[in-house]
Amino acid sequence: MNSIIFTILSISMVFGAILSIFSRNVVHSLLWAMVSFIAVSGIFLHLGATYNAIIQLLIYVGAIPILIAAAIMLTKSSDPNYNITRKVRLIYSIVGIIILCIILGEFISVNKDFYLSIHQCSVYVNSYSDIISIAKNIYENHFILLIEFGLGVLLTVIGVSHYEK
Amino acid sequence: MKSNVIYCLTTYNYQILSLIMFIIGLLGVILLKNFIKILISAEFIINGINILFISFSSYQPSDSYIGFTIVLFTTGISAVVLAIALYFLYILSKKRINTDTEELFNDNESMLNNNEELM
Amino acid sequence: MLENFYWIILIPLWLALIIISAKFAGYNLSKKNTVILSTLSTILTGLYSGYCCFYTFFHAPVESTFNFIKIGNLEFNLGIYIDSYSSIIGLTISVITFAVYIYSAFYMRDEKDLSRFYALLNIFNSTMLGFIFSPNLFQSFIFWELIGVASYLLIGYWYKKQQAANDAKRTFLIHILGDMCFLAGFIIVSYCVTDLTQAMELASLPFSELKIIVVTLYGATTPLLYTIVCLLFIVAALIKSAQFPANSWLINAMSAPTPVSALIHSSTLVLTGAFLLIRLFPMIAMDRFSVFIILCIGLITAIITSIAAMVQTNIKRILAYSTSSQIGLVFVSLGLYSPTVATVYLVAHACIKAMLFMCSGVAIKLNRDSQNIIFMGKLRECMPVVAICFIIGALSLSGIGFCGFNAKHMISDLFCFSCFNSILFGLISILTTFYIFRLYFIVFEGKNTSVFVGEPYKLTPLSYKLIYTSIIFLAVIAIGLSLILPAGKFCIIYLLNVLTIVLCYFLYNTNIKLKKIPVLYNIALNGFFINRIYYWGETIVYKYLCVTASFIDTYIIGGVEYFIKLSTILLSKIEHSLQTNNFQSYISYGVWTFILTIGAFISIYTFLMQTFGV
Repeated sequence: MNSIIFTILSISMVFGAILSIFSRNVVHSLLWAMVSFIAVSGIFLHLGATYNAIIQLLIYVGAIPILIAAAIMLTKSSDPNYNITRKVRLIYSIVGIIILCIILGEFISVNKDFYLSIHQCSVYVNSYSDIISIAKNIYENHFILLIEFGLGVLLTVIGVSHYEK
Repeated sequence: MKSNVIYCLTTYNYQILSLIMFIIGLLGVILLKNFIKILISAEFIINGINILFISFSSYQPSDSYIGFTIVLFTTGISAVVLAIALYFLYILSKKRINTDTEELFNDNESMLNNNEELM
Repeated sequence: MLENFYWIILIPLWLALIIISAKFAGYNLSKKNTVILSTLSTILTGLYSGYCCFYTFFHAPVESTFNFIKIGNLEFNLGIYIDSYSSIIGLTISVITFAVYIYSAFYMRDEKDLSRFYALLNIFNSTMLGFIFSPNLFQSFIFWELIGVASYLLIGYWYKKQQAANDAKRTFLIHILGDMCFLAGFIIVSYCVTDLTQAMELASLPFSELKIIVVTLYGATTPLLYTIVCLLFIVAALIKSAQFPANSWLINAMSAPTPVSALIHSSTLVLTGAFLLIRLFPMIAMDRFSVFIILCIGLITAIITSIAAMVQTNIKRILAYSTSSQIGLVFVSLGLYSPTVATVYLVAHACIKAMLFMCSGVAIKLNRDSQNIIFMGKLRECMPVVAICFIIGALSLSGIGFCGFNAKHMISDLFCFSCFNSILFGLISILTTFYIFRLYFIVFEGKNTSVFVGEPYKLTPLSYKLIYTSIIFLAVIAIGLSLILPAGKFCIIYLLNVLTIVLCYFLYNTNIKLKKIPVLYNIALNGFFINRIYYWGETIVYKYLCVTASFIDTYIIGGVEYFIKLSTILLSKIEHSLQTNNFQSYISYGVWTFILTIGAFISIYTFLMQTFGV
């Protein structure tokens, strides 16, 4: 069972990466990259890193493609001849929403008890899941890393904001 | 027929997967001409490394989740770097009204001309 | 007592050094002073040698040496050795040098600066005396080489003429060959002797211990090696005395001024080879084959050079061939086991040949420096004294009169055991008579009423005095020698010689047209092509040396340069190709570097762990 999941996810990851590189259109390459990132997230989940899986989805599928798409649009780096009609767009969006609902439903069904009773929160809070261990690790052992990370990001943003030729 | 072999999923499998992702990303960085595709390939590199860290820490017998924490940081760093690179791209493209592929080649040609003058 | 005056030999050398240093200081000695000082030095050495002669009649040989080098236990000494041979030849050299100095004051009077000439002559004189009076083979070798150097400097006296410079160079190169043979022989003998006897004072091979040396050498070597050593010394002597395989240098050395020819290439330099063999005669006489070789070489040289001398048109060349021929006779007498006869003939020949060269020098000067006898004639009417002296010299050279008569008959007495050799000897003397009287009749009696009978080459009274002094002095010595030496007897050869004189008179003094024998004439004129062979050999060797040198230079060294050039160009092309303007290629360089270094570290680490680690 493990190996089947691993096989499916790894093949889709590699497939996505290769297609991302070899596609002619920049936006298509971005989309295939997103597929690859979702597969990576599945791998993380399969290995028990739930928090990392979700963060991966948030950033790599939610933030970075938007950045890149914005950059593509601003620099006009690809062929802007997208002859997608309204009808096709409508169908794609409906399909997307359905998939989103399915996933959300799954989440809810798995964590049914969590959302229904509050006093059971403490049960989940007190057990040591990976999120809590990661948090403990960071805040007890590697606190400085966190501060440095933040400072680094801040400084780069400050420096970049002065970058005007 | 049932087979008596049990297939174990170890760190080796994840290492090879990481290696493949890393190489794909590296080749993309080195061989591609479109700047944005290069940036995407850089993300593949980072993801490969993330898979490696996660696999190591998930196969640890003890309760040390060090790999997971490292992955958070690398992910964050890659996002920041990508943002900065795209910002540079944006600034450069404001100066020239070309696409980013021609931008790269223009850079090369201008450098070539400079070198020829020096020679 | 006598040995304390050994420094007298070095007087000419000191005089030469004084002249040279004065020249460097910018002060040139005047001609008169140089001539007077040089002749005084020769008088001193002559008196010393004369006294030595007298002394050696009554006493044993005297030796006085000092240690020059001591290598380990081997002692190499220098000094003086007064023996009958050395004193007689020393006296001869001093006498002839005296005459030549006086003569060259006349001959070289057109030169502006004679001090260099006399300095070189003095150097030559002192090296010659040093060689003659040397007590051991070591000093002989040193002065042997120095004589070669001095003769090089003198032959190339007029070095601005290309011909003279070339001839001097070729002479010196041939002499060096002989020096190498001498050195090889010396080393072999010295080593064998000191090895066997362990007496380190014999390392320089003194002549006073010659018997011990010879016996030791004979015991220490195989017969083949003994023969080889003797042959090495013979080859060295042969080269120095201008015998058969190596007589071309003497012919080429005639581009020296005539006094130099008179001194060096007739009487003194060619003595050295024969003198070496006389000194080493106890050693060479032990080996029959070497003595036989000496005899053969002497005979071959005498015949070949006599034939060649019969047809030459250059006065000095005739006399040069004549010198080779007569020294060949000296070698013949050595080959018949009599060094005393060889010494006597050397002395007689030296005086005669110097006189002949001087007379020919007068003829050359009057002919306005042309040495070609075709343009000369009737000199007897001009200068009868010169003619008389020339006749004296010619008669004695051919063995008819004066001292040559005595000396030649001493040689012919040695032939009493062999019929073939005596026939050859007769032939040689007939040829000698022929060429020398041909020369006389053409130059002194000739048909050309020539160039100089009316031409005013001014001979000042001083010149006349100088010429007559030198020539008559030598003529007197020649006559005096004839009184001292034992008289010979009249025989068939004597008659044949006289007949040859008559033949020459008829051929060259009357108006007979002479035809040239086709092939033999050319061979004789070119000196049996020995000179050509040397020249050809030199050119071929030089050409091949040049070819190999140029080959090495262009292809091997040039190949290295070309390779370096190619490699730098290649490296620069590679390096230029590395500098793409593509940042992606730079990323790939970084990746490659990283992979290779990490891989290297890992592999080395694992390898070390596997071989040495725990």
